[in-house]
Amino acid sequence: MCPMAADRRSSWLKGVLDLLVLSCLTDGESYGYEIAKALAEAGLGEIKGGTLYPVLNRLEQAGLVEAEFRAAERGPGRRYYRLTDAGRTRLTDEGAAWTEFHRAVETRLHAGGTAP
Amino acid sequence: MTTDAYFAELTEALRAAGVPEEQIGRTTDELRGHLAETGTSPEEEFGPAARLAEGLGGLAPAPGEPDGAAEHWTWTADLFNDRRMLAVHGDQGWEVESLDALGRFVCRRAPGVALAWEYRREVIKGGRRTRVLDELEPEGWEPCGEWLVYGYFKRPKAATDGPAGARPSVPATPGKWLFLSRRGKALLGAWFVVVSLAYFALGLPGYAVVFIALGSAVTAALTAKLETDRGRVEATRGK
Repeated sequence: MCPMAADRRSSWLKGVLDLLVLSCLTDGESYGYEIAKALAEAGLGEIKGGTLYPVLNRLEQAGLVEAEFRAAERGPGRRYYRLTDAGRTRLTDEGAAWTEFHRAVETRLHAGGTAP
Repeated sequence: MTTDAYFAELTEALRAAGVPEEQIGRTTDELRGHLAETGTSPEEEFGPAARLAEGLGGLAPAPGEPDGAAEHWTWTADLFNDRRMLAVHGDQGWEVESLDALGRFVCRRAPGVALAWEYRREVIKGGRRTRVLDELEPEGWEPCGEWLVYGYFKRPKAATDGPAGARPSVPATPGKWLFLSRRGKALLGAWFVVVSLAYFALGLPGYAVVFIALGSAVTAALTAKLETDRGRVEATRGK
């Protein structure tokens, strides 16, 4: 990815990364590296640990996720995150608001002559 | 920097931000686990330890969120005084976010326990930018603005001072915005006299403008040359 495209993507992600991280936990618990991998596989680009862990920390402080550290048989342990009820509600509400915003952008862009 | 040194720096910076020991231990274990899976170096994956600590210590505002609780202040100083005043204000928790079009330092101060900041100024024009960035970034310095030939860099003091880098109580926002050195005031005075003489003797405002422009260019070029020469001497000594 060229640096300009990466900058653009990073700027777009700023408003929605918290929601995307929450969305990675809807099917059950997960940990940092796995969340980063899921986001990359979804086409959202590489999310570095320096960006991801402050987000997870903030979500935990806000009570939207809860975490538990589990030791592994081999290698370092992992901290598993899962959605709280408040996190699930936030994801539903803000997800709907984001979709509405996204639709407005799409409508405007198409009305402005940009090909879909 | 080794992985252990990185985590030692991160631990100190988190302590300085008031993060409880138990949480620091959990966080560093988690980050070490992440590195074991990515195989990357800590700097590459997490960026400078001091900056990561800000994000993990709850001091940095969430990206894109309003930052209403923070204080904001814009000020400036002449080139003879800027480094001294940056040191004074950085010590009072003021973080330079950028330099505006007029060359003023646009600052914010986080609510609660403020981090003290240290600053440095380097000549970055004339092909020096990449080398300066390569030298400073691994030490945790981050660019925070440019003016003429100069680049300004910031680093939280927690990166070097540990817990002593935090300021639980700080003085109120200064009422002043202009900090001129004695030399700056003298030069400004002399300059005013020269311009006034030019204006009255030559009678044409156009001449005064030419004098101002010429004088500013010569002063800036001379200062930059002195700084560049000093940088070269220091670089030669370092070899």
